[in-house]
Amino acid sequence: MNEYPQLWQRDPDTKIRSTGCYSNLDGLSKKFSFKPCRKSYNIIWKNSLVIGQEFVLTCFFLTRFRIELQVEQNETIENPLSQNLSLFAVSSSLFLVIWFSRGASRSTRYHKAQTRLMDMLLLAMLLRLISAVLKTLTGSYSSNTVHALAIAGMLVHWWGCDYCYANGTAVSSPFYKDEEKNSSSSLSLPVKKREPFFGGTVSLNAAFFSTTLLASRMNSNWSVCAFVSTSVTIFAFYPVRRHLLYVTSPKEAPYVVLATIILFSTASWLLLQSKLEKLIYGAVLLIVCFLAPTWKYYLQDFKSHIHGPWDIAHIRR
Amino acid sequence: MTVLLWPRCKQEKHLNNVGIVVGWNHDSNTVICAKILHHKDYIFLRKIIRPDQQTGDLRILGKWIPRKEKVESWLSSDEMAEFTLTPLGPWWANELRDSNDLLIYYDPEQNYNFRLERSYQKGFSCLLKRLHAVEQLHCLQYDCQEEENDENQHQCSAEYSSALERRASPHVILQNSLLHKHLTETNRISLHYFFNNNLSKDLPSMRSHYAVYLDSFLGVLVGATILIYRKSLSKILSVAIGVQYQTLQDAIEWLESFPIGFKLNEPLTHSMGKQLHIIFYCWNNIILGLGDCLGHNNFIFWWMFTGLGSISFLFGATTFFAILVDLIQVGTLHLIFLHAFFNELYRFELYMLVSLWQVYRGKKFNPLRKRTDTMEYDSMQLLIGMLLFAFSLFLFTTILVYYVFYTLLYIVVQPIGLWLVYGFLRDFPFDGLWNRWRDPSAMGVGIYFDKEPAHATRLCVIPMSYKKLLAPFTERYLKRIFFIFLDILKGIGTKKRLNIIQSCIKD
Repeated sequence: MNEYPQLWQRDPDTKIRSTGCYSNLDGLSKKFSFKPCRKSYNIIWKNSLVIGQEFVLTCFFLTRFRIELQVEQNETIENPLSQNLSLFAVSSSLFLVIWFSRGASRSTRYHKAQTRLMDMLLLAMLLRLISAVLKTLTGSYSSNTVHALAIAGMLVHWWGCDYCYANGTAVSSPFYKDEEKNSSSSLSLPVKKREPFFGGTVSLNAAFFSTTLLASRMNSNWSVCAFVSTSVTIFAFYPVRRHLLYVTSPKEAPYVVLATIILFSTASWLLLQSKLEKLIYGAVLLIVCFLAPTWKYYLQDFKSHIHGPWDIAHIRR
Repeated sequence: MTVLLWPRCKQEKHLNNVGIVVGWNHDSNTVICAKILHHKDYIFLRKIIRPDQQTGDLRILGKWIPRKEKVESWLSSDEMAEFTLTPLGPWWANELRDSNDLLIYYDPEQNYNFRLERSYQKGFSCLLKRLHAVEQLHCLQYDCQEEENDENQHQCSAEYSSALERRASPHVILQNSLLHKHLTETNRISLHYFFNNNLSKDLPSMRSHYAVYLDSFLGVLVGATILIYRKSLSKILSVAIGVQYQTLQDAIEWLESFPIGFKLNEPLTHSMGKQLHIIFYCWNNIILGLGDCLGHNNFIFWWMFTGLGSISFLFGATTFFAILVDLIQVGTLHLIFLHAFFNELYRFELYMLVSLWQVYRGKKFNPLRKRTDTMEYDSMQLLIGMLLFAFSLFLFTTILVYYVFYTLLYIVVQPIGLWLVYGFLRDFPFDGLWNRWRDPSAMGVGIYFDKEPAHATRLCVIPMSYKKLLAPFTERYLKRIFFIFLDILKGIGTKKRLNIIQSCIKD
């Protein structure tokens, strides 16, 4: 007799052991595998919206830089309305997100205003001090190199973004655990400390790195300030509000996100100049927002989880 | 059973360190002592000086008994002495009291090779070699204080004590001065030597009187040459300073023009270049102004060469080279300062890059646990971190180029050749080489018995190898140059990799 339970052994001719053993791997998989719950197409599609939104924001950011550069160099822009539309897109998207996530913030108005003011002053002072060095930071490198680095940075941002956080999944962090000790409701206690960023540190850093590279190619201080402020708004503040939007209004959130996608993609579409760029942009957006969810909906039938006594034990609450 | 000794010593008047070698008598388990004279690393065997000694055989001088109290010895911390020697005659104590002694003995019952002891009263400290033959002999120089209650630790050698003094001294400039080291370590002045033949006052680093003769002769030669041609030398020096200044100016312009294809940050390069121009201009004016003091061309230089020539003539070539090395160091002080500045700047740049890369990944170094842990940053911290990271990354090339350039310049201006010449004149063992070539057995590093200890008939000397003879010189100078370069390369490369290379070479 073996000391350990035997899960499977190769079938020796026709003799099969009856207890504790399965004749083939199919039997093993039947015993220990199970299919996960089938998700509806609606849920899969809604979860993929944030990925598409990040792609749209990334393209909007890059095209915005190109337009700013052309304006600085006094070049003619194909569609003069695109600049105003991009501003409209940013402001209206922010308005929608803030409106639907109102009341979700855990800090008081006074604290928020104080924090925002300090951030603004700090950013202004920092940019003023380093503007002289920032202007010539990448002066000795060619534009192609800088643009390639910036695009690579934005790709890292798109890849490294925490989409679970974007879809409203709760964050397990020591920061919130300390606060929850003092209150039963996690949303009622006003937060006095600055909240960390949970939407993907590498992702945000890559976006800021690309921002710095692109800002170093601009000549006007006001352009740099506006560009950096836009980047901070889109990549730092907006994901936090989006998360709060999914937490407070889970039903309306996908539609708000869809609206922002439409606004930003329209602006980006107008800012893009060549037909090839527009074609690629549309194709990627289509794949991310429609084809990929459809394919995932079809593939989930083939997915199965295998759990057995070999798994590492996890304590469940 | 007795043991015969072959007398070797012929120059004992030059030697001031006396030790005792102890043989054994197998029959009665008693010890037999002979006298060894040794000068630092050399030993010369000699019979015991006793009026009643006629045959040259060793006599029994003491009995080997176990020690009751264990006493720590400063010679070895590995094992404490276990046995002491009980003298059998009053002359034993007299022999040891007036000299710096080392007691060496062989005890076949305990299978020890030999033991060293500072004095017979303190006991013996052990060396852990359990062989039958005595293979190595450690000869250490120390101050023998014969007080019984003296329990303080004594320093092993004069070099060790001088090294401690140097470390404790707040005067860093003096510590780095070769002349200061020359005067404190050697205390050797050629003129003094001619008036005082007592070589016992020499410190160990001036090994042989042949070196002194050579030093004096070269000193006279060099000094006379300098005194004769001092005017021409002053002119050559002033021209050399001008050439050096022009070369450094050209180097700055070369660095500003994208050297070797490196893409440097232009504003940073230009601003650093401006500051360097100012530094070199001021330094050049100071030096040339000193040279043209009181309205005379090269006035100070003329007097400087006069002084150098006189010093060389009176005090020997080593003193002259020591002063010359220090003067070159003073003359290139601005380059030393620039090297130190760029070294610190480069260190800071590397530190910034490493720290901000950790911020990029959302990590932080935990100094308590000595590991990298995850850290939650807020958005403003990340923005500032990334701005600074971009700065550090794109300015790294510029700082690296300047650091490497001024480090190489620092290495080039070091008077390594002069330092080697100085070391050759001071520490090269001329006397040892001559004696070793003339009589190998007179230069011994150890003693051994020609057969098994119970049946040995001769106590022989292991001659010193040429490699060991030259070791003090090569260790102090040639290896040191290599390790200095390795230390400099540590600053550019990864410290860990170069530490491994250094440890392999040292082993």
